[in-house]
This record gives sequence, structure tokens and C-alpha cells, in this order.
Amino acid sequence: MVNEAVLSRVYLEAVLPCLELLTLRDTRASQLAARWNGSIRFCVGLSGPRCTVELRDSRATVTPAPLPRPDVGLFFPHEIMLNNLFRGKGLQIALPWKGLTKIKGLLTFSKLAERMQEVLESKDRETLELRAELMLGLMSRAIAVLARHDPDYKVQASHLHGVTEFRIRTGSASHVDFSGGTTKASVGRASSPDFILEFADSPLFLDVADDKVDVLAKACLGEISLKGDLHMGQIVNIALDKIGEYLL
Amino acid sequence: MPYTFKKSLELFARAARVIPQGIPGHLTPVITVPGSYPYFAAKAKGCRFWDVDGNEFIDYMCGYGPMILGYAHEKVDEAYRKQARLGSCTSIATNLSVDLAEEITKTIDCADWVMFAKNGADATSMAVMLARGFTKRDKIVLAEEGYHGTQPWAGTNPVGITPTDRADILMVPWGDVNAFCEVMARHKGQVAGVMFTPYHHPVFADQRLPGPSYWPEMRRICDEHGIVLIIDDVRAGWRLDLRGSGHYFGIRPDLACYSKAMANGYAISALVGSERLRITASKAYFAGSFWCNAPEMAAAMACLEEMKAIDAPKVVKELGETLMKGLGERAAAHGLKVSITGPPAIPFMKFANETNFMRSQLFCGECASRGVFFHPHHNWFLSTAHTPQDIAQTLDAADEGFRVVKEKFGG
Repeated sequence: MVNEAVLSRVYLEAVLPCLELLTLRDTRASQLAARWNGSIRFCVGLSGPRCTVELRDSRATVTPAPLPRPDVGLFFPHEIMLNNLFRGKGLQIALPWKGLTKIKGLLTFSKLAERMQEVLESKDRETLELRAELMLGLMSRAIAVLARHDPDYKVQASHLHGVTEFRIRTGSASHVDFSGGTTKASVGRASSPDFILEFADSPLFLDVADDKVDVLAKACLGEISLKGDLHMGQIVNIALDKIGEYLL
Repeated sequence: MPYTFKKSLELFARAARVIPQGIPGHLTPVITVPGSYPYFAAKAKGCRFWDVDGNEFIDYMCGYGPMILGYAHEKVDEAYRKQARLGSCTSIATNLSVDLAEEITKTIDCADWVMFAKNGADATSMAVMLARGFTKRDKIVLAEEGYHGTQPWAGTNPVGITPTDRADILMVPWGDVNAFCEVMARHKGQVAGVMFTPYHHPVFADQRLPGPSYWPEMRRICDEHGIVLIIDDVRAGWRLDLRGSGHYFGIRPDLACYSKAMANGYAISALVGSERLRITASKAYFAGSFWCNAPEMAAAMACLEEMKAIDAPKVVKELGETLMKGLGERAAAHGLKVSITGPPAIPFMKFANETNFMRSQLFCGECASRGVFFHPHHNWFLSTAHTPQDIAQTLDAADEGFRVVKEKFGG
């Protein structure tokens, strides 16, 4: 079952950071980002998640930490309102507590968000590698969010001590570190992973991300490799299914 | 000749098109590195099997337990075949259900009566229902990391289990009497039964034997609270003591579940119980189309007879001791630290200085390529068909496996 409070963190802490790579690698996104220099701060409730998206010189930076003076501040009284904004349906009330006149910034962000969705849902071969890289990062960050905040998954993840790495045999990687008391996600390979889930290529990884693949069968055929702590793999797999439920 | 697995992989490609996972469940080869483990068996005899590529393996999984006398055992198989020629799945029960029940009540010391089924999960599910029926309570206590089948209440399936399915299941760490007492206190008057394995045999971890006071203490607490004490002896049953693993560890449970080694590979299971649960059992409706099949019962009769004749638990214990000792010595000779746990007949080895099983996976893959079939994270099984020569050959292969682990990991 989707927990709206957790979902709001998935959006802010796992999905929005995709803007960084998107504006770095996608020409259209960087052109959009170049239209405005400034920052937008998202706040959910009085004690909910926060996140700042800063656009500067055609690049996006996404940080959980508050910038001292954001140009635009958006306050969502309830997490459902933020989630509806990302879902594109339902009541989407945001109280602009700052920068009400900076419409251009909001429009730019809105266009960037549309572009991100376009890339993430694209079937084009040109954007395939970027999409895979975006999904790898999103997946690891979302797992970390669930491990920290999802009431059920938090219990399961608390038994894990070690690092899970996702990688595409010929390309990029991301990893989740369960060993430091608080679960952290990072892009790139881990120095000493305990469980490695490796995909033969990006199309296969994206099909797995879209839940179109019999993973165990592909593993036995050698197209996916599962190595190391398979128990950790089982627990991570539960999170992957949950991410699907959250972001459907 | 180095082992190759071309036909296994070709067959698997076909399997993946028509069977989800290709090979589902515990037989999935997903634990292995493709190309270093067999996927499909062609034949088996004694303690060995041959895969579809013609590679030969000394098998330490024994079909995950059932093969206690070894594959294609002549006496058991002949008993099965003889009965099958007389007809299977008859519309009424056969004398064999009576003969076998009598034999089991004479053999297992906590068995005053027997109910038959097909798989271990049938027996554990019947036990849960009887505990609830007997006590008129709802809750069942299970051990964390314990395994009792894939049915929803047992909680091992990642798909399709609802919170309602598990609402009356309480989990405690195996072997922790204090935790059990706390649960009893929190759910006073609500707990129907507790189902534990006779010793703890989780996957991905060392096996743990009970201390001398554990089971007597559990018996005392269950009696004090009017709780049905159930031993799931599906995995360990018949290998430790023919009178039951409860007897082996000095405990008389109210209900005990058996399957696996009961008929040396033929599908049959049994729930046995004490006198005080007989009337509740008499009111229950447990049935399956194949639960009274006579050929499997004939196989179980022959298996029991043979296990008694050769004192199977003693044989597998001695073989297991040789294997455990040998593995420990060979690992130490390479400067490797291994942890070998569990009863000798059902041993498990892991590398003591790792939790991610990477050394174990490499070791098992190397052993497989030298004709020895081990599992990296599940306990192993000995059969009476293993011989000291098989163990010696195994240790030579293991020696090479340890050498490769040492080369790759350094320690």
C-alpha cells in the first residue's frame, strides 16, 4: 500500500535529483534550464521533507539542505498535495510563500519536469542510455528512502549490513549502502559490494525496471548476474517491487 | 575433461519460455554462476547424479533431504513399482494406510496417531489448524528465519500474501526462551500453538543446536499456558533418530510433521500427534486427491524398514562427521577459516570471515566443476549411499576449491 508521506520523499529525494543528470546529459533539458537562474524550495507540512532545486548556468542541482534565500518557496500543507503535483492529478495546492512574482522560474521547472518524464518514459534509442542511467540512480535513491521511511520496509532493511550494487555490464552503476546506520544511495560502483545485480545491457535493465522481465530466468541464462549476499538481494527485491507500487 | 553445461543451458532456454523462472522454487539454479553448475539432471543412482550434459556429481543435497538411502534405491523403488502395478489413487483407502500408520506409531515416540498427506507444507498446515481447533485460540508462534513451507501463513512467499494472512502469526528468535515468554505475556490466552524446527536450520546462516535446557523449558512453558507444541521435523526427521528429532533432543511434542526422507524420494508426508489431540484430529477434514496413494505408502514402508535395518541415522552421522572433520582440516591447511555447523548428518559450511557468501559461491562452483554438488547457503544432507571413498573424493575436490578461494580472496 502506498504511504503518501513516504511517496512525497520518493519524489523529492529520489525523483527530483534526476534533474541533475538530465540537465548535464540532455541537450533539450539543459536548454530549458538555461532559461532561468534561481532556486525553488519545496516544503511539505511543518516537519515533512524539504528539497531545493537550483538552476544555474543551464544545470540543475538538487539538495535536501535549505538554501538561505531561495527565489521561490512552495509550501505543501499536506504530502498528498505535493504527490498530486507529481502525479499530475487531484488537488495540487501549493502555497507560494516566497517569489510569487517569479513565474518564469516555476514555468522553467515545470518544463524541465515534463522533459524528465518524457525521457523516463521514452522508447527512443537515442535516450536509452540516459534513461538507464537516470533509472539506476532513481532506483538506488528510492530504495534508500524506503529503507529510511517506509514503516514495513524499514524493519526488513534494518537487518541488512552491507552494500548492494546495481550495474549495467557495459555502462553505469549505482549502489545502496545499508551498513552505516542510515541507508545511503550513491551513483557509480561501490568499492566492495556485498551483493551485485548486474544487467547485460541497458535495454534489459530498463525492461526489468518496467517489470517486463522474468529476472530469475534471465539470471539462469546469464543475462543478469546475481552475486554475493542473495539474502540481501531478496530484501532489495522487495524494495524494487515497492518502488513500482509507489511510482505506478 | 572440464565440465560443460551446454545442454543444461539449452534446455533452460526452452524452460524459460514456458515455465515462469524456468526452474521455480528451491531448485532454481539462480544461486549459481551460469556455466559452472548443472541445471537439469538426467539420471541418479546412490549418492550421485548425472546432468543432461553427462557430468557426474557426488550429491550433498540429496534432493534437499528426501534421498536418505540414495537415489534409485532398489528395495524402495521395487516396493513402489509393485504397489503401482496393483493400482494407484484408488477410490477407497488401502491396507497400506493402516500398515504404515501402525509402523509410524511404533517408530516415532510422540506418535499416538498419524494423518497422511503429500508434502511437508500439508503437514505443517494441518498442525496449525489442529492447534487452533484444540485450543480454540488463534495465534501461532513461529521462529524468525524458520521455514515451514510456502503457504501464506508461513510467510515465505514474496507474492500474494496479505497482512490478514499473517495477522495471527507471532515471530520470535529461535532458541530465545525469554523472547518466547514475553510473547506469551503479551498475548496471554491467545496463543494456540508454537511451531519450531528441532534445531535452527536457517538459510544464509550457521545452524544452531539447542542447549540442554531449551526444549524442556519450552515444554514447561507450553504446558503452563495450554499451548500445543509442534515440531516441524520435515527437514531433519529420520536423519537424527528414527524415533523423531524430538526424541533426539529430549522433548515430546504434541504434534510433529514429517515428509522428505520418509519414503526416500516418493511424495508423502505425515502429521503425527499425541493422544490428547486425537479427538480434535478426528473432527478435522483434511484431504487431497493423492494423499492416500498406496504406492508412496509402500515406498515409505520399505524405506522405514531399510532405515531400521541399517540404522540409517548412525550411518549418516558417521559419514557427516568424516566430511565435517575433513573440510575443516583442508580449509585450515589453506589458512582459511570456515564455520561448520549443524548435526553431522545435515551439515552446513560457510566461510567464517564473510557474510556475503562470495567465497562460498566460488567454492561451491569450483567443487561443482570437479564433480561435487554443494549448496552455498542452504544446509547439506548426507545419505547412507555415500561411502568413505565418496567423502575422500569430495575432500580432494574441496581442497582444490579452497585453493582457488585462497588465491582469489587471500583468506
